Amino acid sequence: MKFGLPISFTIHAAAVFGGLLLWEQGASEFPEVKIINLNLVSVTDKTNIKPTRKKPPKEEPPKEELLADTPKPPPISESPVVPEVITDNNEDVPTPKLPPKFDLDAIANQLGTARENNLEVTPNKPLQNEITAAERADTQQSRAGEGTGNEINSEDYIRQAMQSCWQIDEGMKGYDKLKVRLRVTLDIDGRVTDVDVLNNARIIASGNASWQAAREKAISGVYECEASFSKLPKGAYEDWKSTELTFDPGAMK
Amino acid sequence: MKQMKIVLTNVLSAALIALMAMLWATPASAQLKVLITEGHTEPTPIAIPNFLSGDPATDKIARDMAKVITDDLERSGLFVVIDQATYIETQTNIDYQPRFANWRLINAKALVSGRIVRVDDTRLRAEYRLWDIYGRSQLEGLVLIVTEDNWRRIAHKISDSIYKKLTGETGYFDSRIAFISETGPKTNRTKRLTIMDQDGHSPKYLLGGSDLVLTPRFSPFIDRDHRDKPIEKLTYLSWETGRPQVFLLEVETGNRELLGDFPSMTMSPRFSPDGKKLIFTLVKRGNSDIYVMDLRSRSTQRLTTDRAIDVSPSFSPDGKKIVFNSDRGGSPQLYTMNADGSNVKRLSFGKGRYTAPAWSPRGDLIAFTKSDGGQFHVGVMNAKTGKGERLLTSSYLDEGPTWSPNGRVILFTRETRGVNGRAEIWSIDLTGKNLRKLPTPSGASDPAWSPLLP
Repeated sequence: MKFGLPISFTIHAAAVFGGLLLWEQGASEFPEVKIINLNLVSVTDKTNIKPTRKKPPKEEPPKEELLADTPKPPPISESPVVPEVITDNNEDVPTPKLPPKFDLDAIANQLGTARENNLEVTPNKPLQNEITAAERADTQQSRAGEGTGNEINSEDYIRQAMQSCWQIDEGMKGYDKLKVRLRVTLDIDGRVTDVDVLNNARIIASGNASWQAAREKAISGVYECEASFSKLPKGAYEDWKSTELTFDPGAMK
Repeated sequence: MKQMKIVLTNVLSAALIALMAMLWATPASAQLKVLITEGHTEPTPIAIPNFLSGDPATDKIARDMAKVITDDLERSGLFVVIDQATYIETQTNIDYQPRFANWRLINAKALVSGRIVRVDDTRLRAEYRLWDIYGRSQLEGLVLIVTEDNWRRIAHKISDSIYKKLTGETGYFDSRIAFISETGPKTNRTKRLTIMDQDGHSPKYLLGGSDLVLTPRFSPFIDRDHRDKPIEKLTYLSWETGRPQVFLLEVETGNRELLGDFPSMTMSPRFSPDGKKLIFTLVKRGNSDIYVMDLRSRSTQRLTTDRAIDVSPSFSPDGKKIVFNSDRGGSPQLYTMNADGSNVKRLSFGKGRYTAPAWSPRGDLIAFTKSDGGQFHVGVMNAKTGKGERLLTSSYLDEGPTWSPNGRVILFTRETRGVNGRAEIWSIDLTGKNLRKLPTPSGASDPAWSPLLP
């Protein structure tokens, strides 16, 4: 076993190089695909038009040429549009207009065409960028929460929670200069496992009792917010397990 | 063999470099950074159970002590004491750590637990601990020994200790207020110099009501007599000699003294921060100017020489500056000058009349009375620049601000309209919140706040 150690090093080095090479391959560029231009319909397209009674859409599918053209949005009036009252009187019913150009079926068709035109794929195999996009969306979704629409990202969530837990005293002399920086470690259930005062040396050295009280209030606020932290998205735990909180009442002026 | 070593060295070096490269390439665990600039300003919820007592004779004091502390802290506006009926835990021994979860359930952020123990026939020992409920730790533990008839002072001292631990600032509860008691209608009002605890307890007349007295002011420095007992000093204006003159009074002994027998009137006296000098206004040949008197030698020095009316001087807490009121600019405004009278600068430039300035013990603000548009206000402004004026109160007549010893609260006189209008003392927090009427035995005006008692 004279060469045991060198052999071990050699094998480890090979493993490291191999890992790096595989890593590089894993991070290969996306295969080129056709970029599909989708026409966005702005909110004003929907709100600035007069109320109408639409004719039922024609049975025949919309032509592809129609989608390829950018639809012209209706002009946005300078003054707010006053909605008209629709009465039962047939004479008052405005002339039915063409259905809007936005059509989900047509977009789906266009997507299908894009897939057909791409030589790299078969109908049963998803495109590489579709996989990546889906994975990215999953990650984003886990960071955003359950997708209820009321959930916000971790940073905004923690900020909002701390605003209701952190007590400030505007009558304290120089309160706006008493900045406190904490590193807060949380477990996956949002429980505070550690609070480290990052500028503690300065606070102690200052001999300023108000600053020390501000430090205690910040720490106390973190513990008070424990219940709120339990609602942080668990999928994004890596993001918020160690968070640096800067309490700076002077920054709001 | 040599070649083998070289190869081995090269392989090891490559492995090491690869390892370092990998470590460098690995992204550091990203730490979320959150800037918090806004918080809430609600008062701190605090639990104060009755103090424990091992002796039925001290049970009442134990209960009353908790009540005095409760009242002190609530009056400050910075704390809200949670109703005792909601407490889940009953403490039987303050030497054991409380169950923090029980206090978190009722939303207490701090807990005060205390005990009274009789030491001998006349003395009590008060012990108290302050707990941080969310921090799960003891913030303070104190033992105080006191004669039984002085238990209220110990309660105030405990309030001061709690206040300091939770706010970082010195408290003001173990202090007193001198004021002018007023009885009778405005046209024939009797005014007597009175003193009481800052919470309105134990009022005592210091002088009879035969002579008109005004503007009492405490010495910020508490002297000690030959037996090392503290001596509080007051200066005030009295018509005792037939004309307004400045007097000095020792509160504990009742000794009083006319300060300088000037041929004309002297008024608006105030002590220097070290208590060794007195600053006041002296009217000579119809012109009022500011003078300073050395209380040991009784020598006086004129500080202002302007032909305008210069009144109401007040020292800065470091004794280097003086703020006063003068109409040299056409209307009463505030001015500052050095303690020797040099470098006079106008401080206020606002609309209306600015009077009765009082320099904050913190040094950063000056409180004043302002009259404008038929209303009187008590306000504060930056002591250096005169900017940042904030009017804290407004009424038919608000005047004469005086600072608490920690510079957090302002007392002032509020008088209601009409012949039967009544003068009262009110307090307001520096932030403009927590406006409260101070309990006084009768009408009251001209409050002056003492320094913290030793």
